[in-house]
Amino acid sequence: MHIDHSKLVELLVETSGLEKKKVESQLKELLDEIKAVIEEGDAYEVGGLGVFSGIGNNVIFIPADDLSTEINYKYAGMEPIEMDDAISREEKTPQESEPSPSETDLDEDPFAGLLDDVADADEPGPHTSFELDMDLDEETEDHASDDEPRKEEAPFDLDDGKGSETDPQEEKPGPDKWGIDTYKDDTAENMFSGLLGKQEESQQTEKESVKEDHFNALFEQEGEEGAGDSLLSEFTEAEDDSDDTEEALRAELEARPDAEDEDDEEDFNDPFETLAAENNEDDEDDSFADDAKLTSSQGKVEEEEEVIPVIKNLSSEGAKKKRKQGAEKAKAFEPKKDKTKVKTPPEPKSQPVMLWVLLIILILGGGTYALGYFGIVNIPGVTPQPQMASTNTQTTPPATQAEETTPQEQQTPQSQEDTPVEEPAQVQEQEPASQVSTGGSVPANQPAYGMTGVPVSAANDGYTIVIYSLSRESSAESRRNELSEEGYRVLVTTVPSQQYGTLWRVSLGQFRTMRDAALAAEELESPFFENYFITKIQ
Amino acid sequence: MTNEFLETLGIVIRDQIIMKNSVEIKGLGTFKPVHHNQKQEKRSDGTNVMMPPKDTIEFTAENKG
Repeated sequence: MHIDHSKLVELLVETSGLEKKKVESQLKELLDEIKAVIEEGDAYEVGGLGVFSGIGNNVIFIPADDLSTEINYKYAGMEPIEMDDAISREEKTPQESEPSPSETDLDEDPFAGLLDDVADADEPGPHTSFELDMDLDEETEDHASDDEPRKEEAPFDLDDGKGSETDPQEEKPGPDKWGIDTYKDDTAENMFSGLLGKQEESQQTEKESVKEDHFNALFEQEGEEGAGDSLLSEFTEAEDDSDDTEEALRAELEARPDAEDEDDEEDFNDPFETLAAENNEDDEDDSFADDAKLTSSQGKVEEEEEVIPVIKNLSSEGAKKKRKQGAEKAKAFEPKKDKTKVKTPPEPKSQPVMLWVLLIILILGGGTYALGYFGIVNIPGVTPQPQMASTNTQTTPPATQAEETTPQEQQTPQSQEDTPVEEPAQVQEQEPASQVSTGGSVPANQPAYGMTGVPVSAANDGYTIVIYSLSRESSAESRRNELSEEGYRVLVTTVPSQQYGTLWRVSLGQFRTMRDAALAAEELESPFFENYFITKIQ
Repeated sequence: MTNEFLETLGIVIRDQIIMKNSVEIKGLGTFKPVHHNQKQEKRSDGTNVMMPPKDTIEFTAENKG
């Protein structure tokens, strides 16, 4: 039915009680105002109706949320039905061979197989003649593409332009890994350094030993290139004896104190750069005789520096450890430099405190939530509200509630907001509880499922065809009586709605699967055939 | 134009849409109810669900283009 402008004015006159001229003038005023706002590029909102806005010369209308909800009052409380469960139930029947959900082409009619199955099955003739007219073949929205596995990539490249070797050994934590994971290891150690204590030291010694092996390889290359570099080779040998490194170096330094000092200074120059400069000045002042050794040793150091900057640039843990080790050595050989030693930051002590604070906060939060959850403390949103039985607490629905089959009635759902507020999740629980049985005894030869007969409680695990959503129980009862007299198996369920109070749904039949219900729905008569939906009984 | 009139207009249009009637406002456009049957939909987690039916409002502006 189409309500044109004149009919709309009449309805407005009836509803508002205003005079026709006044209604027309106000309507014209509204239209002018909407047009003016849209021409300015703005949007115009009519409370309770929606928003009018313009795109180019077109006027678009976005309905208000309340309006969108109210026009769907018949479907209040309906939740998406898991099809996998239904399919698994259907697979139990031997004559049906439906492909698995993964194999099903969802772009096709989900009920397309119904007709084939009906044709194959030895079912009555009418099933084979009709066509499914439901819009169930509408395009299926496939959101699976959103979940396509994505290849994880490194957030940034740490190769520093030195090639992209994909050596798996470099990806493993350890001395060969120069990258962000090294920082992670440092951070992890720092976080728990106060808690772990001695364990950290043992881990550090292990890493140092591994790191020294790495440097051995580097220094062996140097030894091959610069053959005859006894000092470096001795130094390397000294480092090979991981635990006796300092002793060996000390012995070596006793033989060549100045040259070895220079080696150490130049080798680990970052934290002691200024000290090394001072040391060089001192050495230069002392004697020029040592300069020859210095130049030779510096030449070796330069060879080492060809390797060390790689470590520095990557800020690897090995480089840091190397510097630390150098600092320790320098401390051993130069007592004057103790003041410039890198002091351990106080962070390791403070971070455990932060951990404890976080732990306490978590415990307090969890305890509060538990208190709220168990009702000891009333926390909105946490404390479960007592459930209301819909059949007992239901107030009388407003007389203005529209019924699906009585379009003459004017519906005012906004006036129903005082009705009990119940969660939609309770719908599924209350439906079976509020199931109205016909009271008739079940005949012995009646099948458990079907369109006709008397409702069977054992068949309440199936599906049914909803044809009415009514706001009054009396209307639902009268519909049920009428349909029962026609031989239908009628179920009446209550659906509590937060906005509309309780809706009484009159449904036909009990079917084991949704497919059976869809097939049976196609045989419904015209008033029901046009507007129905299938839902689960429980 | 009063707020009561706007409220009444919204109620009248809503009720007519609920009753499957289309409503025309001269100079503005036509509101038409559109019913969407329940349909099968595949969720992102791979499960197939039968979405419940719903009604929507389709607005056709009077002055197009």
